[in-house]
Amino acid sequence: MKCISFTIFAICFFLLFPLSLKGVSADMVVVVHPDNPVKTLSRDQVVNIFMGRQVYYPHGDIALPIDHPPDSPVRQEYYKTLVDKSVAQVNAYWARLLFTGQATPPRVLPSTRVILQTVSKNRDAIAYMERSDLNDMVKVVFQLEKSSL
Amino acid sequence: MSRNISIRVAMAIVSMALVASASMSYYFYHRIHSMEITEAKKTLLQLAKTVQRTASIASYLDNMEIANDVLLGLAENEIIGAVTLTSKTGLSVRYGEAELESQGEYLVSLPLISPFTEGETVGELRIIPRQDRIETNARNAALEYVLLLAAYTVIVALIVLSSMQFLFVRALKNVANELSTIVPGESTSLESPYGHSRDEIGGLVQDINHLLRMVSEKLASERALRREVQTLERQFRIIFERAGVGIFILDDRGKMVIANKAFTELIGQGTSQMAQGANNVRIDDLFEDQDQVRPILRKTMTEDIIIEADLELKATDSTSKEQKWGHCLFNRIKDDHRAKGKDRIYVQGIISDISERKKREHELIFQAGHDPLTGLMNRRSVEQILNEMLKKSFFNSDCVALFLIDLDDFKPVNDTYGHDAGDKVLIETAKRMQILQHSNTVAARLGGDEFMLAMSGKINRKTVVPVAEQLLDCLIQPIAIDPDTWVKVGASVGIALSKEHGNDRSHLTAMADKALYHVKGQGKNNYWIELPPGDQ
Repeated sequence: MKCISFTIFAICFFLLFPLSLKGVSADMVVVVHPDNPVKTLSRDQVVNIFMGRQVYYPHGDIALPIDHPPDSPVRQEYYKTLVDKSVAQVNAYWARLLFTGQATPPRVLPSTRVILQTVSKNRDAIAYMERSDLNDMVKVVFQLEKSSL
Repeated sequence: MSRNISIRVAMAIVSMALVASASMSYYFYHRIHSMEITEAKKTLLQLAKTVQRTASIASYLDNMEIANDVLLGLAENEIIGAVTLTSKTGLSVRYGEAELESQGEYLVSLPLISPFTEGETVGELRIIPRQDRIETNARNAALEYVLLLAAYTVIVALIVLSSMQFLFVRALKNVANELSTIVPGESTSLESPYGHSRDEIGGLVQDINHLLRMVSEKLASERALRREVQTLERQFRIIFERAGVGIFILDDRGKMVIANKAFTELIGQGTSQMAQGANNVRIDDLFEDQDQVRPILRKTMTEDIIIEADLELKATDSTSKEQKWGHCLFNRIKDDHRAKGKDRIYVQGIISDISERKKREHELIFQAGHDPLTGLMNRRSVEQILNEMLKKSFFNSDCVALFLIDLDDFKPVNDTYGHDAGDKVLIETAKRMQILQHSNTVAARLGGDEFMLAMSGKINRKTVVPVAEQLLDCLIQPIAIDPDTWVKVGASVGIALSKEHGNDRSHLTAMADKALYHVKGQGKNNYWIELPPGDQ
């Protein structure tokens, strides 16, 4: 009896372990307020917005990117997938800009729930999250390609 | 020394070093120079790459501040003349004064890629180098290298030079100097230079010493040989020069090649000729009878035998009556010392003075054939002469008149005045008889007081008479045996004629004897011609 349960546990563990490492299961999406005139964004556009190159949406409104907390695996996954950089590298990028005075990194919010709330309340906000966290209060404008395990 | 090996070595090394360093310097200067230029370019590129990330970001964001940051940092570099950062989205920043256009390949142009999007170029970073600076740097680097090289070459050359000098040249010079003071024949030897006893220089010294030893030995043996030769030569010369006999050598034509002193003295004549040169003198000129000498010489040359002969030499002066005679030995010599051609033939002659002996010989012969007291021929020799005369007269159809003369009254003189007086008489008689002598007349003393006179020619009974009378007249004259004492001896003469009595000597003599007997019987002091055979 014990052997069988142990075996089942082991199988489950090994199957699910890789997932637990990553901590993230599936795709990521970039979302905006449903009323945001933006329908879709290209990868470049997403990058530009989140890296501070592009301050405005194509239609002219200001863009307000939102970041997950620094130690969040979602953030990690996002930047990894988007620009193939670690969080530290991105931070360093923003640190460089700090001294020039042109540093406007994305706003950090504590959790996905808060982020969802903020995006649903702000027309200019733009954020990223796991697909599984999506709800109908936000609109997906970009889908990230699956990252390799 | 006109060519000092040190100087030559030094010059060779120095010139090689100069050539080497000059060519290397030239090569390396250019190489270093171009290398430096390339390095400078690489440096510029690396500088650009250093700031590439930041420049990309600046370009990506069109961020002037970051761009300035980057460019300022770059512009401070001494080899950078000017830098520009341009972005595709309109940013353009520039630092420095150097012209963009003029640099050509020196221009470093780095595309700036988006930090977040691979392959997307967002701008360009350009660096314009400071030509002059780069040049100067390159030149300096090259020069430094070249100078280093030159210094190195100099040091190496000096080291090589001194090494050669110490290890090699000095040793050689020492050996050469030592060698030049050596006199061949002395038993000195060279010392091997320090430290070289095992190498080629030591070997050279050993060989030199070996040679010197050999030369010494050779010289010593040559000296010994020469001494031997000199001794021999002296001995031979003494023999040759001081020989008691004349030694000479003739060539194949009879001309004198060499003669010693004894020879010259012996022949006497022509010492002036000999002085001029022996080759002028022909051997047969020196002898009286050349017809005798020539065959001898011919025979000597053709046959390999020794020929002996007594030969009379020509008189040196016509006044001396002394004859010179030489006993000669001739033999042939073949000189085969010459390598080429035939052997030369010479005649070697030895001639000893036998003049005295010959004189003695002649004297003895004379004595044997003549009466010692009177000097007239004696019986034995006159008989021979008579035979000759009779033979000759027979062929010439001459007549030989034979006179047998007997002295009258000789014995009393001998008895009265002694033998010495008698001798004087005989001598005087002989003298008187000799007056009658000519080439065809001989006078002889047959013994005691008997004399003979033989005459040949166109004689007959009639023509012989005055001779007989003259003879008698002569002989009857007084003879002085002392300054004060005179004696008279007459003679009885018996005469025979070959035309009447025949050519046989003994018969003729017997006939003359008969006539003499007749005279003696008839009272002496007379003559009588024997009658012809038919008339007796």
